Amino acid sequence: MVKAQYSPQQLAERFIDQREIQNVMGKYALLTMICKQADLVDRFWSKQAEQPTLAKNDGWYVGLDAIRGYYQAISDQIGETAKLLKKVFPKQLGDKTDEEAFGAGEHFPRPLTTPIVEVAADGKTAKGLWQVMGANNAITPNGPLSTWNWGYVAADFVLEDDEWKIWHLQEFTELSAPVASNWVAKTELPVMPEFASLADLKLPVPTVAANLYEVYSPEREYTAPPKMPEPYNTFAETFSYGMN
Amino acid sequence: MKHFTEEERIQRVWDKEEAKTVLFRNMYYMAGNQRETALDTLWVKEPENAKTASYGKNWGYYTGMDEIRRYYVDNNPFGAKGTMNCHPVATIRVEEAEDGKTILCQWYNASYETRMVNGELTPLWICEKGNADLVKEADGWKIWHYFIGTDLQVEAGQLYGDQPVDLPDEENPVAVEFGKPTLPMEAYITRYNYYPYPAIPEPYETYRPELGCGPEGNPKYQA
Repeated sequence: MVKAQYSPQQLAERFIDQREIQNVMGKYALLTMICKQADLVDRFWSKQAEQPTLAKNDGWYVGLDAIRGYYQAISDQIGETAKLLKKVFPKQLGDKTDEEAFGAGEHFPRPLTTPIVEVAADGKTAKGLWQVMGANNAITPNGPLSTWNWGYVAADFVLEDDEWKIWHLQEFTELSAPVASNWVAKTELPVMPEFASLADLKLPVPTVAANLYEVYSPEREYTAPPKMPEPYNTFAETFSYGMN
Repeated sequence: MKHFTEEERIQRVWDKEEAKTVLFRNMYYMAGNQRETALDTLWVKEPENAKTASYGKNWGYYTGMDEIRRYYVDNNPFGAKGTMNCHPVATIRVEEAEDGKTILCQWYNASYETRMVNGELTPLWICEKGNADLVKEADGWKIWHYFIGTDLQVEAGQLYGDQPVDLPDEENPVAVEFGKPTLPMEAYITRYNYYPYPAIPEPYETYRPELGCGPEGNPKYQA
């Protein structure tokens, strides 16, 4: 498209839109970090847009119910992990309620860098792409473990009741490897018996399973990040981060 | 300091956002192994700018777009199975000249790569200070001078403290990859921790080489 020309007033409004979209994703990342996954759909997702989708490396969660189910399952895992920690560490956590212990041992920082945000010329939708310098600090069947979780987040947004809401979200892990490890040589970690039961906690399978983004391995073909947003007039004339 | 009208101030805010986006796009092109596209779309094209464009690292500068292409595209170490790179742009600071013709940027990269070193896929952590001078051409802000000062690189899973303090260039995969630049020189020194070149961008009236990250702004530059 030919780059649209904007008046100073329009430029100021577009700057505010870009800033608000970055705030949405900043808040989303923060709530993910502090184990508030159960709140994400109500706070950030569009309730009116057609077919919202959440894409992970292994497929699409389609529709708000499926997306909510995915986040709720993570929240449930965090709750179950806390209950197990109470048993394993009765001295430290035994007197805590399940609510008080929720999130113990878990920390999922997702700092967002390198933002590209393009707001449609008609002001109704926007697209964004970020690089994520993430880590999973979690209780796993291998015990407490810190794992790099670097990757990309890409999203379509829709303006709904004067607020920017997530319509399509892609969250792809590029690099997953224990901190201080060599990610070319696969790290094998022993299962710790007291945490082995955590392997039974599973996330719901995607609505549509698909290999959307392969996590790094030495056998992986060269893989590019998600496509960058480009200036556009209306959503109909650009690509979608949703399921086509 | 020059007084700007409200409209000028809005335009300058937008200019800086666009300049940052140019550098962010450059990172995604780099990660996507689309180096030629990056040079074709994000770098200067106007003849005088193309002639004086530069891409520098600790060991000197490639100068002029043909030489930059020789390094950046023709000697690209990425693309094979198992290779990858990610140089996120964080902690960016941006200043636009009062005359509105140039923008100075500086950022920091905590980066990772997997590349072939001595015939083996090798994972690297790399910490870099990045600088770019952007100039306004007919179709927007373009990279004119680009400089990456590598503060450290270490193989993932190894201790940085186990690496020799003055790692010989031939053992440094980043130096080996940079090859023989047009203008070889000691452009960035990590021996004493922080190196003041390129400078942190500060408000300025108009571009002067000593403010930027081209070779002529380097204190060790000899004409």
